[in-house]
Amino acid sequence: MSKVDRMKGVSVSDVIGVGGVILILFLFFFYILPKTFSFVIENLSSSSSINVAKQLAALISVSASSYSTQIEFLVREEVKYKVEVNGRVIKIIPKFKTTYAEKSSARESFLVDLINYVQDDVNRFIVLKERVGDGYVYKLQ
Amino acid sequence: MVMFISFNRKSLKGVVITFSAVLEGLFFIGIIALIYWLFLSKYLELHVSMEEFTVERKSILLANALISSEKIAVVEEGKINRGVLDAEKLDKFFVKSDDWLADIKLLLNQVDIGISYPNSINLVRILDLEDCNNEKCKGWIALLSSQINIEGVSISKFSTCLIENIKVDAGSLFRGIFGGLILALWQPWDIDKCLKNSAPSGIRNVFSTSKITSEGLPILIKYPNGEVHVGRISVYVGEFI
Repeated sequence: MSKVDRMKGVSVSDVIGVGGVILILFLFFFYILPKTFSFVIENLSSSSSINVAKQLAALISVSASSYSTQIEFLVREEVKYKVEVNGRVIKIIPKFKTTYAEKSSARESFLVDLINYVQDDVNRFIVLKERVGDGYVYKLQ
Repeated sequence: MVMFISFNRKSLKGVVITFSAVLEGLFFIGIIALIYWLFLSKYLELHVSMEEFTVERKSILLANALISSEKIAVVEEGKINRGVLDAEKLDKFFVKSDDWLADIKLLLNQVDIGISYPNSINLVRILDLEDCNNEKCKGWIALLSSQINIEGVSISKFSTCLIENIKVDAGSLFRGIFGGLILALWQPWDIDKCLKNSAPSGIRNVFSTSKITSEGLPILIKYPNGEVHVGRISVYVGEFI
């Protein structure tokens, strides 16, 4: 084996080592770190779809504990959402660019039968429970 | 001979360089692995905490709604006595836990009192803490009927979601070099999110583990003879699809 061949072997193993380190650094800084921060920010943010869905589902569920309710929930003036209620599931789709990327829309289940509802560009919600005859009617406005 | 020794030293030099390079590489990999492990463990911990919190919150909400429901609570002069359950109503809707066929009756008679989480097992257990024998208390159990919401697969939802989440930033160039056009335009978790949001909820939830919690609330149980016993209501919520 010539001297040149041996040196070639050394430089090839160096390249593999450095390449491996770069790949791991790349994965860490461009995938793992942003994903972690994204998840934390999304769960801390009061206007993230996941939290708005949770809040609304909880407010609707809470209204089951009383005769009649009117609960008003304003998220933030500058944000808007698309809201879909189907069966006992609410889906919230943010209509603004999010800094987090974990989930852009969120679903949450609640306890009672709500009148099906689809509304675009809203940020203010009113959960209503009214007595109608022998039963109750739940609405989201 | 001199030529041979010098050649041997040079070859050893190469080995030393390679060895140190490997050590350096291992050191860096070790550091990265440590950071990765720290973040991954915290990330998983956060996920688990959030999931546990969600189930806990749902169980508490369900228990609160149940103790205020006129279907099982005592109603006097048109007013619901929150937290005071009527034994007669419980007999009507629930299965007595000391019944030897209780488990079969529980599965066969799902109770519909207008309150339950969809796509879930909603199990309610009520114990009379003043009617116990050998630490086994009498009470009632019921499985609340749960709605099933299954949506169809949506290709349009998936494509709309992808279009909404196109990201062109400084990282796009690096992602493009390593992963091609797809990774240049979308972060991997964006694609993952779009897939999850486009799939029917039933399919998505199959992969999530069953969630059960057992916190309870204190209640009173009023019997037809006027006796009032102290009890406890426990709610178990587990998403099954």
